[in-house]
Amino acid sequence: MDMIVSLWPRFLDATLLTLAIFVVVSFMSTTIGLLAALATIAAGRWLAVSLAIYGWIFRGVPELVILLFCYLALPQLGLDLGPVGAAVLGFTLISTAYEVEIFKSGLAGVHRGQFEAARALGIPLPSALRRIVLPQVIRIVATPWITYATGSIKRISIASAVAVTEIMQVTKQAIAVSHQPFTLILFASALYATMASILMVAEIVAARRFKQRFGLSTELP
Amino acid sequence: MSTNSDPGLPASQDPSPADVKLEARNIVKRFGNNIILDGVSLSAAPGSVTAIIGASGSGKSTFLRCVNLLIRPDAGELFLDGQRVDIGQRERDLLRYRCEIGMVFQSYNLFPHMTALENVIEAPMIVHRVPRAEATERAVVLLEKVRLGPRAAAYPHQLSGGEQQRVAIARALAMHPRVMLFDEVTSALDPELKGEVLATMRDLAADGMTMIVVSHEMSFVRQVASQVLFMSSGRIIEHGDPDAILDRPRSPELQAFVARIMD
Repeated sequence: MDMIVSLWPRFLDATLLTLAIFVVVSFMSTTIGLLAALATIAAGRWLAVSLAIYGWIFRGVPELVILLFCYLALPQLGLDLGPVGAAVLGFTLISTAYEVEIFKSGLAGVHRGQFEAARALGIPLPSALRRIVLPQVIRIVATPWITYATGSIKRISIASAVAVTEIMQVTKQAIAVSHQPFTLILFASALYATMASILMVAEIVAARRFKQRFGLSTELP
Repeated sequence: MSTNSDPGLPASQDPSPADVKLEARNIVKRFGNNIILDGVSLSAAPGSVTAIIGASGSGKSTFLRCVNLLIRPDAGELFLDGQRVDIGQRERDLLRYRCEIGMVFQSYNLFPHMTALENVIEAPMIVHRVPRAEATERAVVLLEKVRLGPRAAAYPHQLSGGEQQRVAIARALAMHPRVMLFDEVTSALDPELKGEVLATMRDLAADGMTMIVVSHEMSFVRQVASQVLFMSSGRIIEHGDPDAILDRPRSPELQAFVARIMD
């Protein structure tokens, strides 16, 4: 216990760094993923094909490989982002591939009649997307989005492989000097579990909210 | 343009005469090689109720969507209050025309995340930039009119199908349309819920709204319609007053259709 107390400042920094990476990556990948999914409504086949190829690469190649590429290979091409920058870039590239799929299925889940009703009322497409389609997409994607986010936060542990001093990196360093792997790994697990739990609770709260508003059967005939 | 192949329709002059609210001339729509609408014309007098009947797949719904340009016809002309509507204009410009034409759908298509009241005020606020208080005031009146005053705060999932459809009617009326289109609005409803929607439509007709109604409710058509168009294979086969169409069908297509729906 003394050991944890003495190491606490480092673990706190590592936890904050993990959260910061998570927030930045989630924000960027969600924004880009949503915009790309929306664009597929209006744009032609070339965008769909490009997104399919993108998704195939970044969902197919292991996360570690992509992080190592960003950390070790990109500097060779003149783009040296440092450990944290490389991790943020790598995770954003990976997460965007998943977020596009999440939002595409969310959009597909909105009844076609919703678009038709908006057009019939003379509502311009941008307003219709923002006021009518997006709130329904958010309800549909809430569960898959949070499920993916929960995975995302854990996956940041891989960044320890590219010298990011996140939780796992600090844990490994602490094990090397203290030889107390059992306690330390348990403690790291607790930190991850706490962060994931917050997201899971958020999902329950959101689900309850949506049920109040939309009821059980939201799909119209 | 003066020749009109559809029986019963008066030969139309250009521009559309003043006693015609809405006129469609020779609307043609193809999807690939399929001709869905093969020169469909319609002329609706102010305050009239035009019923369009026909088997499913005859092009009724497609024609209705061509009237408010949800679907862009490949050929033909539209006139609203004698004004020619440019059917080739950009989607953004079409929105203004669509505001003039209210539409109610078979599947209601209410916005599920908004209350009945919010559904009704949405388009006036977004499109006409009506302040919320003013839009709400009018929406309350409209919801009273469709006999849903006490349900204004309910979400669509808390309403019956008949109530949802009446909210949809109020939502369309909130835009002050000059013409209302009804696309099989009672087809998805249980028999005991159809009556309340049809009663609302009757009220609307009595108020002098010009209505074009695709419907399978023959007693409603007989009682309320000023004229009936019978469509088959993308054409208007017969046209006339309800009794003539339903009691004295001339074409074999209409005879077969009437025989099917009357039993």
